[in-house]
Amino acid sequence: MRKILIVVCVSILCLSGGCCFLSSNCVSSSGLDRDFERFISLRKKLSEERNERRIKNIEFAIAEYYFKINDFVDARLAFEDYKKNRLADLHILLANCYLYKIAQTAGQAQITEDLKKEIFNKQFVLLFDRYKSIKYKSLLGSQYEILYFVDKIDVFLNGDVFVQIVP
Amino acid sequence: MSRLSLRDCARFLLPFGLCFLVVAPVYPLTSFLSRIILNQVNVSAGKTLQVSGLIFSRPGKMILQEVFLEFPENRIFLADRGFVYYALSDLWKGDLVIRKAVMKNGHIDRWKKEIVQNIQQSLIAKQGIHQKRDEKVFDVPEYQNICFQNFAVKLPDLPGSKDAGILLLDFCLTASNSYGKCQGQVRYRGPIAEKSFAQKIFIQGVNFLADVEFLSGDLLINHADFSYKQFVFRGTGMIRDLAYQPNISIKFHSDPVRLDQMANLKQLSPQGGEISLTGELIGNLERIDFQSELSMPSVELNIDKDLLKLDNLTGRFRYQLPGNTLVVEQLSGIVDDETQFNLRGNVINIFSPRLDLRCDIFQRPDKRERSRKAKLILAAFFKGRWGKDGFLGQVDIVHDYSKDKQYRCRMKDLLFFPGRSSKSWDVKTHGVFFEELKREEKSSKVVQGFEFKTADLKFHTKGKTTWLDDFSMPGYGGVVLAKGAINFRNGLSRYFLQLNFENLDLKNVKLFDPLTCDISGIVSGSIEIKNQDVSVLRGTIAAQNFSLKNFAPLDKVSEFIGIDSLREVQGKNVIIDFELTDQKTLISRLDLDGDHVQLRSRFDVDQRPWLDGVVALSLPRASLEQSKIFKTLLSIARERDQLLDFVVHVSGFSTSLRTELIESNFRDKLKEQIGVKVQRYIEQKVNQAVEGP
Repeated sequence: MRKILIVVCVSILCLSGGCCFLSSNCVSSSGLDRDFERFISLRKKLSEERNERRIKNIEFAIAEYYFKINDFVDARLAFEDYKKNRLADLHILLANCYLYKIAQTAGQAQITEDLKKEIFNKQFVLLFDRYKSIKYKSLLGSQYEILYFVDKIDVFLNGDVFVQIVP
Repeated sequence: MSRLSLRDCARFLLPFGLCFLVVAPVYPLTSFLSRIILNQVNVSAGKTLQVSGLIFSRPGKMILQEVFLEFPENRIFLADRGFVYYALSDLWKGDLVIRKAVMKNGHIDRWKKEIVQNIQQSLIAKQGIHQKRDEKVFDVPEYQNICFQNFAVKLPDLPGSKDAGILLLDFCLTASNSYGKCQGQVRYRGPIAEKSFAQKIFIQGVNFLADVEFLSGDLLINHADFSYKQFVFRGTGMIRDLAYQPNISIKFHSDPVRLDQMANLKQLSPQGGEISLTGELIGNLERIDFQSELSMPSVELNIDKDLLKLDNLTGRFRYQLPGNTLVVEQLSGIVDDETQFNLRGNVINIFSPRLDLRCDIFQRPDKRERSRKAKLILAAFFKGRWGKDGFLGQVDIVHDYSKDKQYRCRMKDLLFFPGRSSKSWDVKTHGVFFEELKREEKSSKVVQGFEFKTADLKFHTKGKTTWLDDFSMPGYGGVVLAKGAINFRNGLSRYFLQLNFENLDLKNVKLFDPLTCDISGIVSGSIEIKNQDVSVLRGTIAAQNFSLKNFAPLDKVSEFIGIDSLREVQGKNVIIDFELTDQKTLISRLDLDGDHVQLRSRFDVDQRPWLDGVVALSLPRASLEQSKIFKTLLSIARERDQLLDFVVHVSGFSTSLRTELIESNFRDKLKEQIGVKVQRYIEQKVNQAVEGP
């Protein structure tokens, strides 16, 4: 009887692990709860915050949360609003990467082409390396690493490839 | 002589004697009568009608000599002879009823500004058009009528032409109270244009029939038909104040004419094609406007076994009598479903045409995209004279390359004339200008231009193919030669043009995107333009003893190194191999051997425009040492080589290029000597200069 219970428990664990592996947006229920709590507290803070830099980070985290819970409609609106209020910087590039991924998933070819023009609108020179790397940790705790190549941009999220954009 | 024989003789002479006794008083009688009638006519008519002689030629017929008829405002009518037919039965009743009158060799004069003159019968006889005279006498017995034969109207002289055009009319006027009917034929003999282009033509068999009514000075045209060969025009309208200030307003339409019934189009074997015309004739005798609209739904023509389809041919024209100006408001059609043309402008004095025309050629969108607008490919402007020797004038051809860029070829003093064989033509031009124009809001600005003094072109056509047999255009110490062909088949234009230019000594020539630069030197090369399934422009340009400036890659290098001397490069050779398609521009080779720089590169640009390429640069150490930073870096790297090589990968949208240094011994040596922080610092400084991330 004990053996049967052990086999059933192992099978359940394997199945749940497999499901999580197959799902690219797999977040444990405890992780989602934690993000939700952060999201609520960030929304409260947003109305009170006066520091421009912190506001920028909060707004980005809120939009990021919508994407995380697969609310692509609100995520797109949030990232588009975010872009309107900000000057070009790293957050704008990340927002464009999110919008690109949403448009790509929805099969909106024209929007992806327009976003590419925005994403590749900066000129730079690489003298010593093949790429330039920039890292960023969001208020939801996500670790981003952006690799700038001359002919592509790779974005990693928590060590995994989030999006690769080629012209 | 015996009594018997005398009696026989008397019997023989008796009829003659009786005849003499009867006839002898007739001549004085008729002569007397005619004088009485003549005097009566002249006296009763006063200045209105005068006849110099009247002869009773036979019972029922009178001959009037030198008939003079005067209309208001001294307008006159003259006729050499008039024949008046009357019925003897009416005479017995005491009435002179004219059944028919025929006026011969008449003319009218002082009829407003028209110059109308008599043409002598001898002249008409020489021209051989009197032979059918008798057939043209119309007999409309139910009304009194007057007929005119060989009524000649001399048209106003054409400037420079010896002969004037003559309208010869055979017509009958039938009148009954206010109602009138006019029926007859018109012939025309004379030139259709002045000296250089004039060719005498003879048109006969223009029939006309008109039912008219006079209403208090106005002529109401109930119905008027004109026909010439298979062309029939039907009209209705009014001429107001006919006697004093005639004001014409006639609307007309033509019966549809099938092109396959037209003799001069038989060799084209037209299939389908019904052409019809509607229009209006308005104005007075001094200024007549002739407005018309033409339409033809569809026709297929066979030109040397090639099928040419012409659809939706429509036109709007206006002809103005003063100046003989034909205003082409619009003449458009679709050729082979794909190409659309639109012609508009003026033809001043159509008898000796001075053209001022514009012809737009459009490429129609694909069948699946018919909702889109047609794209303008070429606009051609013609200004000049069309004469016997061909066209002489100025031709501009403008090609819209992009929204803000145009190319224009202007040919001054262009003479276009038929060649030695049929369907071949020669073009000679004095003054050819090739210009690149930048479009601005209201006008275009010339960015650069090339001027050649002469150009000779020979070409011939067969079916829908035009062969450019020979083209030569000397200038700039060299020559430009070309050969090619253009063919329209299955709705697509396929063309091939081989252009060679040798030893052109050019100054500050601006090359095209993405090779935007100013180049001077002795330029040679060849360009091949081909359009079969896709359009391709490929070629090679080589320049010797060149000077190059405003070339973005060199400007970038110059900015990066901090040496201004690289902005303008002089050297022995530059060679560019390129291929342009609708999708992509490929510079497969750009080799430049300058005095201070050597460059080998290859890159392509797509429509967006995204550029991707590799550039290999060789710079002398001495050049790099002109920059303080590089002098320091070279000493840090302990670089001793006199020539430093760099291989760079360039990628990005043309306005925001990203550069990666792929290979450089100098970079590798430097990397060994400095730490990562210093590397970052150097890179940061460079990127600050180019606004990096």
